[in-house]
Amino acid sequence: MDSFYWIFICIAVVVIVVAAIVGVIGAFVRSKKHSLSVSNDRTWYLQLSLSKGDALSQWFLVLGALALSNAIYVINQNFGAPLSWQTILLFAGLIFVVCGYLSKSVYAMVIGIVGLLVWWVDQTIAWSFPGGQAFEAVTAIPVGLVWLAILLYVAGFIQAKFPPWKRFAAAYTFIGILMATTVLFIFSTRSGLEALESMIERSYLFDVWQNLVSIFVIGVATTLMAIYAWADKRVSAKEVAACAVLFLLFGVFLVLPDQNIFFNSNYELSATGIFWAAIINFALFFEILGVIFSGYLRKELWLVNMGTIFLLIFVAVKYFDWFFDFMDKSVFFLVAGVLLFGVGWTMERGRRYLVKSINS
Amino acid sequence: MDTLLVQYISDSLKQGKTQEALYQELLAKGLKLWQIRDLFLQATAPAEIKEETQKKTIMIVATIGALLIGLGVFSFVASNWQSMTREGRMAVVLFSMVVADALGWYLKTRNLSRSGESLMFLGSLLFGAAVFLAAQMYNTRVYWPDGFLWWGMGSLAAAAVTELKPLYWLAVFAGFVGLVWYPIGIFMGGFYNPLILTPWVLLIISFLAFITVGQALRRKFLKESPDQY
Repeated sequence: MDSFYWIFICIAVVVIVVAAIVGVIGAFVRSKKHSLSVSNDRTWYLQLSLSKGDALSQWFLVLGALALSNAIYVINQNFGAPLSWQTILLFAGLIFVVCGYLSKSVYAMVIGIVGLLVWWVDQTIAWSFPGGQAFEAVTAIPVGLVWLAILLYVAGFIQAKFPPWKRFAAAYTFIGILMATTVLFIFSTRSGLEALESMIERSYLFDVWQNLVSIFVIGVATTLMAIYAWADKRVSAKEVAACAVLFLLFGVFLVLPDQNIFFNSNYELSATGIFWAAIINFALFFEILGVIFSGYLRKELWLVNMGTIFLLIFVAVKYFDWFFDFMDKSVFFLVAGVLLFGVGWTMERGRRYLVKSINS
Repeated sequence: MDTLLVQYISDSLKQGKTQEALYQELLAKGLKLWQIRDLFLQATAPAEIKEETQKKTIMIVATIGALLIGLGVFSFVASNWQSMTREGRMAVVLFSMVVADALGWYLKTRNLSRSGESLMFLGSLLFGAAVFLAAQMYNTRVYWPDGFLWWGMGSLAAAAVTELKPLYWLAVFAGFVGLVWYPIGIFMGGFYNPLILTPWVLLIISFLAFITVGQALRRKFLKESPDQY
């Protein structure tokens, strides 16, 4: 249980830390410039705060929501804790989302979305381990997270058609991409596959009705949202197809047989394990490329930059992951240097071409 | 480079060149639209910008001065801790706070706003010190983040009255430390509930205060910048 718990805690921490870093940098970079005007800047919606006044008012709203969430926790404790702390977390997430929407505060909305995601993961763990004894249906977590990531990605493009909500839309898309990439990244490694193996080993979704219902609701919502976005021409058919592939790839994990499939008796990757490792790594690689091309087709430079950073991290990490142990160290570093130089050169050329195309 | 361009824009405008012509010329040189707009702002309002820089310098100097005074007060209390009574210590801190606020207000009304604002900022810092000092000296059974929340409330009240931005930011800082520590404390506490000493009324009051001020600032921000969402 601990290893799963920590994996998802890590996902939540990564999302929160990145969001916090972006928030802090965004807030302070903007505060140094003149107040940004929506009518004069095409990329205004990429700023978390448009001026110091905007940032200050948003901070107070966040503090208000935080105070109310803490108050609910304290009142609950005073009454003998009739509500579980997961329920309190759900209330807190909803308070932040409502506060964000009513006041158009991106800070509160982002915290609310992350809070709700953490709540869902923790609640699913609680449903999967009733009384800390059983060990059921935990596969719902990675599947649900990827499906939710697709949902957020698509929802972002749907909401982007309403100008006043474009900042929210960009935040949805950002969180969605970050989440999908992080989950794929984790399961593309050996330790991730080990975790997946343990999840599938003793997992049967129909054993825990709460997980079944929640995964069903998420699946239906994601499908409907993607169809609506496609019908409304907010996403292209190719994007929907790519999302569908990712959706189905993770959907397969829910129905994989109840047995050891990734590792053999010596605890080395089996043929099936290698097949799945390759599939997930390819999925991650094409997901990152998809982000870059999505940015190119939409003329959104931030998506191109985000995808480029992910691609660089992907190449560097996979190189270390795959070749560090069995290559001579001098050859390893020489090849790494040449490879990185080549990747840098290709990325610079590719990015320059994309930026030129976008600007023209 | 920027200085030369600002000078060039300023000279060209004086010579009667139109803004449109200058924009086209600078765009052709490869500058971005927002860069040109910034340059125009600097070229057309140099006096205001210069004044703004001077004001900022005064603010920084005065704030450092205020912080040093605050440090001096604390050093005085700390070095005379044994020889002073509890009431004496509190009196020194409270007296310093009242003097800082009163003098700050006086200077602000006398059109010395930067110096006045710095002193009022010092007053809010001393208020925070008084909160923690009182809790420590009288052995009050409280959870320590409550102190930050009280400090945040006090700074917020002062900010609402004076409408000083630094006080608002101080309230954000103090409130943030207090409110974020509660959930951290819950996770780190295990079976022990650290919020057992925290009165829920304080949290509800904080919620109402922060939301009210946040909404008021948000309305003001949207009113002043109608094209900002």
